[in-house]
Amino acid sequence: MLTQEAMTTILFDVGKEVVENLTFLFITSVETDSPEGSEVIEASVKFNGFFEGAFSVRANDAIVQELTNNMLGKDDSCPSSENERRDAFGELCNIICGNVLAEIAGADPVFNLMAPEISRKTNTNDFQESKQSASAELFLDKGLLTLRLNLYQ
Amino acid sequence: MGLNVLVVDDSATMRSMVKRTLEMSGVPIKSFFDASNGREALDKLEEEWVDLVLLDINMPVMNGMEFIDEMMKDPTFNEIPVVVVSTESSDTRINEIEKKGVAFIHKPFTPEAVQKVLIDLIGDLENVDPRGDDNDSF
Repeated sequence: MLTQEAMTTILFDVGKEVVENLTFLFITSVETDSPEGSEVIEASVKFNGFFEGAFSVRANDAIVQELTNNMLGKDDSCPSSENERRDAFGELCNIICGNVLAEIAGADPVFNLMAPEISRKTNTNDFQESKQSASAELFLDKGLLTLRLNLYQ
Repeated sequence: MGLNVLVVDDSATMRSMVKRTLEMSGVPIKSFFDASNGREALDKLEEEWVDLVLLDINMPVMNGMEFIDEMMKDPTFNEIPVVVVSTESSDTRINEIEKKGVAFIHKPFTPEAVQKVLIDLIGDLENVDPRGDDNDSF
């Protein structure tokens, strides 16, 4: 199994590539933050197979709105519905997860990804990083996109 | 002249993206049909002339592999080109998919990747020969 540092790098690199190619949101070098206690939307995917775990993506409403509009080809004057935002964010989570797992495990192993779950949460910075987990932050114009991966023993 | 394309995915967002990417790839399109699972897709095949199917794998009710198996049993439909569009990265799974005689595109995908797969699958896109009811050869 890879080191935590290696998993973090994969999360960032794969996340960046998928986000930029799929949503046309580009990662900036200007650091933003997601204040503790602020409301965020989280999409999470559980998986099993070669190994078992969960992957999640968190972002604020503004980012989810923008990426949804971009994925659907809508302009800013035509806001997406709640259902559209949930669907788009879930699909983004699903695609990043699939690509991250392939990068970590290689081309041979088989994984089964469950349907994404979407929820609103209060942002907390209590993610416990361990040998079996990693997180990465992507800085976007409208805030932070946080990727988290937990592998179960 | 253009293709009647059936897009099968339980995500409406992904169906929209597939359609836009197909249009950007230069594939001549006559109409799009949507289905959110394999069962709906089989029903759509009965109702409409379809020249090409783009298909996700992980869907409720009937998944993509089950749909392909059912479609291949029917001589009316078993020669329609099928492209699986999926996040699947396992060589084992991709080989299983391709053994069914279908093509595969990995998500996320670009118009160029779509165009390449379709040219390999159905040949020269400018001279594509739809199955539809305005085609004298059918």
